[in-house]
Amino acid sequence: MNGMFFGALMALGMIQQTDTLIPVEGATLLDLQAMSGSVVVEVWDRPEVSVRAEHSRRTSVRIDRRGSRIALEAEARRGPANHVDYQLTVPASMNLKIEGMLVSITVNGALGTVEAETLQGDVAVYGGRGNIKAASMSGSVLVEGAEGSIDVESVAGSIRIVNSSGDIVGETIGGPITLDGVRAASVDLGSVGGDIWYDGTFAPGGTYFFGTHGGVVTLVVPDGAGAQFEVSTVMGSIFDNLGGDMRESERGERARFESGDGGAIVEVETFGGRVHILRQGTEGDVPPRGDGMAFVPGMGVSPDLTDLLDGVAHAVSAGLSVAFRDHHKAEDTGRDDRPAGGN
Amino acid sequence: MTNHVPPEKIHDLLDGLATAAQREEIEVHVASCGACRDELARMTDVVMAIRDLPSVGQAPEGIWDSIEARISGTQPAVTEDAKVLALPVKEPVRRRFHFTVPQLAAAALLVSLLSSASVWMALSGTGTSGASADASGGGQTASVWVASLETDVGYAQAVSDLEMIVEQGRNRLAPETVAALDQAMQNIDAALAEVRRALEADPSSGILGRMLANHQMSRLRLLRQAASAVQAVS
Repeated sequence: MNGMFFGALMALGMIQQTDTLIPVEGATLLDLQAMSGSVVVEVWDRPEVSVRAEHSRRTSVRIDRRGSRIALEAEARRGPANHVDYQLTVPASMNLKIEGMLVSITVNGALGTVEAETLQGDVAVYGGRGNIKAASMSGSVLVEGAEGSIDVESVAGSIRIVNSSGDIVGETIGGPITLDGVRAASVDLGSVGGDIWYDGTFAPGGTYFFGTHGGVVTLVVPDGAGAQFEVSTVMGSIFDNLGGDMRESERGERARFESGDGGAIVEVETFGGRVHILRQGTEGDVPPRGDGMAFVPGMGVSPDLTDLLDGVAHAVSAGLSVAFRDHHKAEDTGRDDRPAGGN
Repeated sequence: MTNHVPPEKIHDLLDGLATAAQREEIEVHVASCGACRDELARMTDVVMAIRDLPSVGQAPEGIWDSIEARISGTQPAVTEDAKVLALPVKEPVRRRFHFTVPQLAAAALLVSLLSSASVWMALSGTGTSGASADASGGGQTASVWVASLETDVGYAQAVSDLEMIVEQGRNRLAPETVAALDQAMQNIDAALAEVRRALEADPSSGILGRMLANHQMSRLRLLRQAASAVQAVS
């Protein structure tokens, strides 16, 4: 809340503050239910939970302790509790469960399990180890510097995971998904209309899936990465330069190829979106992030899809299957299992 | 208890705060629900491990060791400390074709979805790797899937029920939330329409069948989220 505005409201007696310390005493979970406002969580090395909250005079913060759980929830003398801005400081190892309606959530440095979910508002988790779940229906989700099991979800907003490691699952309907500087043992990313950008490692034995209906999938493959790629697209095109030069497959392609020792399994599926598999350091014709094919409801993923679909129908009626190029046919044409030069 | 055991009930159980009836209810449920049984075991391990730790301090390094080992392709060094401190890391639930059936079961869809998914998984013969299912002879699986889900009465009824909940309660949600939901639903429906059209042209395509299924699941998940949001503000 704006400082001057807050100060003015304080002066008018319209805003009150809750400021209290709760001894941990064996509690392992902080459970916060919030209706509206913001939640910022910091960590410290004291066996206490600091709760500072700004809210209206008719609102108070109820603290309920049950066994290993400390629960916080705002309540009002009359009607529902409204806007509350929380500033919490907790022991780093404490598990966090934060649920909100119209709430933005920021968590810094938590080392326990983090569950942060809101309907409307952004969610940001900085640092952390262990199980991290972050979700927003209409806001964006950011996870940065985290290590562990990371599960992120947004309906309409963007997802960004930066400089993080572990097992990663992410899903959006309309927003883009960007993973940058990621070291993942497994990845499962899905979107309906959004682009997917992955710039990270492919670990030996790791499994990686990237699926979008209309968005662009871009994978940046580090030098020396060993992976088997299986790329399927119904109406999109596949570009890759793992073999050196940039190559473009025909629309409706299904391609398999390998880089390095092929230790990781990488699957990509799109309906109309393009697929780019690029060596790290590729310059020039690299698709900018977030410039994916516009997904226009009711109009398909691109204006020319209708023609393409008609083409598929025509081909099928002629006894041909052009929706996907058969794997063996691809091998015959030398497109399959080609070595990735430079890796 | 048809839904999964809420985390707070597990906490109550572990804290000794659950009543005898609640304990019995949870015991009956976990006896037949692997997901909840795993969650209960995981939380039990967590609580036991944390109880042995100082109340303040850094999280045990053991959490990260197993993940680091998998990333680097090496086995973690097991020390005496690690044995004590290694906390289980919950694998994130994958959302693509081998669905989040346990999650989706929050609606009364479990039996319906399990039957449909089981048909698909059995016929695809892959178990987990959806992309390889249609490399050869996958056409029948796509047709079976489409037939099983598209015409599944239970699925349709559940979707209809969730849509009714959302429709009746949408005015209680913030306009921005409603707009986001509507836009997302339009996107999914448009994608579904495109996939259905493509399937009409190529009904033997396994990937199209899988995409249809995934979009159906996305739609279901979105409806469930929306219904939960409506109920939360009611």
